[in-house]
Amino acid sequence: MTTLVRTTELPATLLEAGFSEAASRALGEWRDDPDWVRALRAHGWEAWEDIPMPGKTTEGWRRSDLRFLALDRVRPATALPERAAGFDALPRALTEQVDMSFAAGGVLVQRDGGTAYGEIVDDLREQGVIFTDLHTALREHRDLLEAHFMQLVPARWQPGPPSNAGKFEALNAAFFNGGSFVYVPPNTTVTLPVRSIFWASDPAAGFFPRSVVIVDRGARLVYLDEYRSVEAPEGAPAVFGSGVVELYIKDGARLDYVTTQEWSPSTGGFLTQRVTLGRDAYVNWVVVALGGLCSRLTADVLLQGKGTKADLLGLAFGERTQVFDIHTLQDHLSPYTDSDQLFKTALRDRARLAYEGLIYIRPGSYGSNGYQANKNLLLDDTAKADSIPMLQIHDNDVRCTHSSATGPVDEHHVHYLMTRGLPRPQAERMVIQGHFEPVIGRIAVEELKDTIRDAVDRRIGDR
Amino acid sequence: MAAAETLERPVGTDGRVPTLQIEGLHVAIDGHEIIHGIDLAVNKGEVHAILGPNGSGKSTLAYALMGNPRYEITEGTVTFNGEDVLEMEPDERARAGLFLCFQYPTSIPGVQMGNFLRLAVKARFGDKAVKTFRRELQEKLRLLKMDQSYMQRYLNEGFSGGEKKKAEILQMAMLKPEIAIMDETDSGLDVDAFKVVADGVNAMRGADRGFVVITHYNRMLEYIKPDFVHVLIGGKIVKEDGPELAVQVDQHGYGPIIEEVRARGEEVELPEEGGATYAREEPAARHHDPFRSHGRTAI
Repeated sequence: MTTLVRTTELPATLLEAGFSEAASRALGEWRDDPDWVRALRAHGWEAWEDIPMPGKTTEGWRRSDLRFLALDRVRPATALPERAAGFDALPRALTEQVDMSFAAGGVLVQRDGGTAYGEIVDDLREQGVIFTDLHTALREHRDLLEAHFMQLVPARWQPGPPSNAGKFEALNAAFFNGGSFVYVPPNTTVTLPVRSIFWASDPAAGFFPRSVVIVDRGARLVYLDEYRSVEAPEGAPAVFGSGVVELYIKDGARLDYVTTQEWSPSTGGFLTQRVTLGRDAYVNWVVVALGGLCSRLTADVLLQGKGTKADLLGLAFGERTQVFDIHTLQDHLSPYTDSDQLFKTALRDRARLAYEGLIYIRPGSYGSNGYQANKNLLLDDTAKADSIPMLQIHDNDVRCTHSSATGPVDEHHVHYLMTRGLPRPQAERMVIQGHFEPVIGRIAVEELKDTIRDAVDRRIGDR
Repeated sequence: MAAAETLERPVGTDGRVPTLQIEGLHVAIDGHEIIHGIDLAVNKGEVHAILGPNGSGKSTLAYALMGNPRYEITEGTVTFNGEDVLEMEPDERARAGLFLCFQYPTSIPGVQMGNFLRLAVKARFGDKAVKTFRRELQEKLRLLKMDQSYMQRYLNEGFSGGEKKKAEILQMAMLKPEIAIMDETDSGLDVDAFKVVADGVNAMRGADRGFVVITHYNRMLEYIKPDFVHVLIGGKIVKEDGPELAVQVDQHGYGPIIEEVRARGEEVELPEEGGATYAREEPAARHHDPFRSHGRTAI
């Protein structure tokens, strides 16, 4: 955190509700983007205008619910925050929600796109680790960013299967504001977790973070990404935003990654995260989706290099009328690549889940293994899950399985626990907790496991 | 219900109410009656063996006593220390001191054995018991030659047959029931595991505990010497006697007993070939796939 954000006044166009080309340009100027970045922003606006709004007939969007969208009532940005002297000096509305009980290698807290607090351990900086906000990085690290920024999720993303219209990624490209940049030099091991926390605190403004993470050859990183937001006022439209993360894991590198989405119950938003893996690289990625009114999460793993391996695990817990729209891709682009994906959810009340996951074995990906499982517990009859696991195989000598299972809490399990003296509510709670344990157990930070367990536990409620 | 030739009733002789008393019990599954009137009284300090061919209703009796909702009690009474068991939920029965050692223990993904045991002990004995939990657990693990790493594993998940049975005995040892029902605990065990399990059970025998050992092999009873033997065929106890009855069954099978019953002019309902009713209804494989699965493809 070397450069302070300039204190330029927020341009008037960004205070007006609605998204326009002028606003996109004004945002780039206000954030002091270099020219090469302004050009990308302009591409983003063009793509946003060209790509039609996805609807019920758009492949990959049939089960999505976009009724929360009120684009003409959202401001593109809001004023940048004051910097807090330390984490504890941040507003309690945020600090109360964040688990700071464990040591970190770096923490960056962004409020409405601006850095509110940020620190990195000196030892890491001395080793050449870079951890800063995106805008500073775009100005100071062009050498690293030009080849990576908006490459994995470009302004005009023409995604193949599973189809995703790229609409809200384009909106992010035109209005990105805030985000992190992490760079770990070759053969450098960062085991103390590096954390980014994105907090949308102005319900009238959209949030559009865009982050880039590069783990260079043979390096190692533990990275935690956390998304939070405030409640929308009574009668106001949902808090809205679209975030993008591009993660590059180079040859022989390893990333342990945790994404936590705990938006407020009146937030609707999109998160698109893509990881690409170099030769013999490995990612252990756990996605935790607990918040939001309607949230769409796209988690893609590109097994680009030979011999790469990816474990993608996820959990979601839906209550009230929450809608989770989850899309995963295991894209095998090279021989001898392994991917294993497990997504577990529990839904109560009238919560809904739409899950689509694809294992894509490209031509030339012989000797690869792809596994995929989605298991959903329906805790009430009124909850609903649609699960669509998909396989596309274009080479021989591969092994792929996918499975999907949706049902209530297993009475056999509950009965067994009851025969050992546990009353029914406790037995059911234990089975539901157990359902998530194979995912939670894979979180790279021990302390965070209990935090997530507690968050799940609170949502189980009184049974 | 014509009683079998009743010898000296093993219980109630001193006027006490038996710990577990079953009278005129009829049990049905899906409207089909499996048990046609059983009387059995078990006191602490006693070991009762229930022998019978496959499909005679042995496991049905065990499940019904533990309150499995699939097993409907159509007639009869069961009391435990004088309390009406049939009015109790399975967890209340467990906390009262009734234990079933399952033939096919369910595996529950994500539930750690250690956590689960601690909560079960707490449910039965209260908060105080948690203090001595660790020490006692170590002791029982040693007794059963089980490794500490069991405690981190998910309940029965990926356990071998022998490990599952040991885990059941471990739970019994920690929960210290007054009456333990052991459903075919010997099945699926190799010689070594069998010995460990039998030793574990024997170590728990004593004046403060009664056992109902369900088996169709005599092997179990050579290690765990019963005080009383009951032969269950066609949903009825057709013969009761001391331990020598088990030896007799082992040597001559059930044929002579069936003849004997028929000679008394009673009907004997013989099970269909190969099959216990519960075994068909309760396949072990089901537990590995607890959901209504669909869309599964393996290539």
